Amino acid sequence: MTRTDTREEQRDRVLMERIARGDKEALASLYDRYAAAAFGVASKICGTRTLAEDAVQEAFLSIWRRPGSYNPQRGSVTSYLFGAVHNKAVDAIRHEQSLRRREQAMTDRPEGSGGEEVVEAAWLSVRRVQVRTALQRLSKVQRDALQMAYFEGVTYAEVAERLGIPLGTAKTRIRDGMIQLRALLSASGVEE
Amino acid sequence: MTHQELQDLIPAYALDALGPQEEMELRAHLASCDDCQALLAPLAETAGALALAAPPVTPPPRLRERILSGAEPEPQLTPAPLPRRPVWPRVAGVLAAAAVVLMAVANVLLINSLNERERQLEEQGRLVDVLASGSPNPRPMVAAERNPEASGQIFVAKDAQSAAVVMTGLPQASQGVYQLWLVRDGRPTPLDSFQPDASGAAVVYVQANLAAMGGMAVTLEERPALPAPRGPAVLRTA
Repeated sequence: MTRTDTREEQRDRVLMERIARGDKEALASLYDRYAAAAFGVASKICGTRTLAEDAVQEAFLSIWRRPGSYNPQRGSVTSYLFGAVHNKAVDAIRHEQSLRRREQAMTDRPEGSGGEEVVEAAWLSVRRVQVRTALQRLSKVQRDALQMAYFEGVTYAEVAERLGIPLGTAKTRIRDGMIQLRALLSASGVEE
Repeated sequence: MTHQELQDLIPAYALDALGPQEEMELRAHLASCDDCQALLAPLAETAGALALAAPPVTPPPRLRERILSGAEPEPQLTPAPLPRRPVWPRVAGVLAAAAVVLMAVANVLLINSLNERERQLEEQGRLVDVLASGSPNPRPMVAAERNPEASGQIFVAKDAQSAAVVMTGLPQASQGVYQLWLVRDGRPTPLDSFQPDASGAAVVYVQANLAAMGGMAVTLEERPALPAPRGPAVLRTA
């Protein structure tokens, strides 16, 4: 992890401690730091603005209501936060069970996703580039499996079905892709 | 599943890419397996980093307002226009009387954020203990007529100090919450409120003296922690 990341991570942890004490301003600060990233991933998964907003809202409020569930020994605040957003977004689209509606909604892309300038902290932009670069360095089959599982919110069994590959193969691609991605991110300093 | 089979599911678990059954099994396993927990932690971090592969999108200002206004000391639940027919006396009549002092601990949802999972892993561990020590004949819960799909089972631990209530077929409560009740001398005592997961399943862990438990019931309520049931009955012990 780079020095900048460590410093930013430290800031996040201080925010989480304040949130645990019921400090609403800290929640606002955490939101301001990561709203665009959180809404970005939620929008990509949900496809509709309404579902994405709901997912981000639920994620932040779940952190507010159960701050004790964040364990700093286990990982970074960002992975906790983005994990919560991802989970809520996946939950939302699985609940909707509306692929067709989702596809229709994709034509009605969330405003702001059409190349609009997003103001984001420099360190986060750097990290973003590192993650995308690492992803590009995976084999295509691993990348496809990971992206399908993560961004389309489907189970590995559905990945297998959609790609027309055996269940075990889908599982292996996801596993190997995750392990490889982790190694690449460690090498680029995104993770310790 | 064998240990190796469960371990192979961890990467997909980190991506929220398991089916409900596998996720439940793995979570129960994680509660008691340090090796698997150690494998999960870095993969959860990797999954978190994947979020940055999506282009950032500036959310509308109203989202910030919604979140901050929702961040009150007490959880805010939207009141729902639920029917207020007086169903409880009918339910209570079916339930046997029991003397139990009860404390609800937690609801366990099948699908949750990774760190929330950690908290739940502890609960899951307790659930496993309950299930492992439970009577071979769990007490069934049957559906009230309005939700024929719903069913449940109560696993009481051998020492009768805790129980796991496993429910399936619960419709989503988009406005309101499910409330678990225990009846004592014909009067209901609120236990935990909960929401089922996307598949309609929920597991509630109850810690209490259940030695003389007569029965439990589930109702759909506008908000949690009401002193007495107001909403319609969903499940009750047979």
